[in-house]
Amino acid sequence: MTQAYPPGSAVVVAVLFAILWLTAFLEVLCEWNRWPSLSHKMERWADTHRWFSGGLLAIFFILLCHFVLNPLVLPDSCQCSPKSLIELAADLAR
Amino acid sequence: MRPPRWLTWLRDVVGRPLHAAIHYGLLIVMPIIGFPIVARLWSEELAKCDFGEVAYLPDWLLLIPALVGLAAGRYLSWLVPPQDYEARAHRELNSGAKRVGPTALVLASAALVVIWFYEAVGTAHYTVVSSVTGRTANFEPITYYIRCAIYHDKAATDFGFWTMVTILLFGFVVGHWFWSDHPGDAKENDSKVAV
Repeated sequence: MTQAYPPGSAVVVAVLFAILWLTAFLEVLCEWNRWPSLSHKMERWADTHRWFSGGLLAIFFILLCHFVLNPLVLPDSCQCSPKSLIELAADLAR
Repeated sequence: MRPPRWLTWLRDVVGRPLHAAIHYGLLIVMPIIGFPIVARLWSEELAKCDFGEVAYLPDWLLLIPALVGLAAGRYLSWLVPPQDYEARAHRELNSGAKRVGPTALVLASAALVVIWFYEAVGTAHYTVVSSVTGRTANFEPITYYIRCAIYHDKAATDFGFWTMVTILLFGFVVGHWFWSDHPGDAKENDSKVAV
């Protein structure tokens, strides 16, 4: 029986936290050097682009609702013939 | 809305060090929260993510930490004195400071490329065979893995503690960046009105 890629959830969560950590690192770098921080730049951009930043807020909320307000749908057993990773890469390159 | 007097006082006394502490603190908090979550997910049997008849999603309560995080991020800016906010904007930038913004954009764009590429593969539900173990596996969209992680969290903690913490963190960052509030001090604004 086909199964979902086992480390999938762990990798996705790891990537999310890596992004958050890199952001925090950039903030610390700016704080240490007393530069205008990334937050500061984003805030000033948002101040001058209210509609754009409002749109991004809306996208955040829509994505969150998409994740938590829909049920988990288990993967169907696939009727297609399995491919090796090399065949998959060739398929995508075509 | 203006900050109340007690908060203005707090800001003037501890605002700068507290703001800096939050920045440094987040650098430590992220791995402390992230590593246990990833380690636990990696060790679980996630292949089917089948919890039988139990349905942990949809859950409206998970929107509450997002709203709390958004508000906390928005009003965190009250900890920065208004004159500091303006002073930093007009400070002469060295080459290092000028590189921060473009670096962040490059990292974000690279991450988005990887994410959308994987999302295309996952949405197509490709089935692959491992040449090492001979096992077959389906690639699924990222939403599947996120919901699967939420299910595991709720199964372990009843109400999904780590899910709420993660949503709170993201809401905080989004609120602080895109919905920040920078009111002037009451005295400054009153004097401007008088003039």
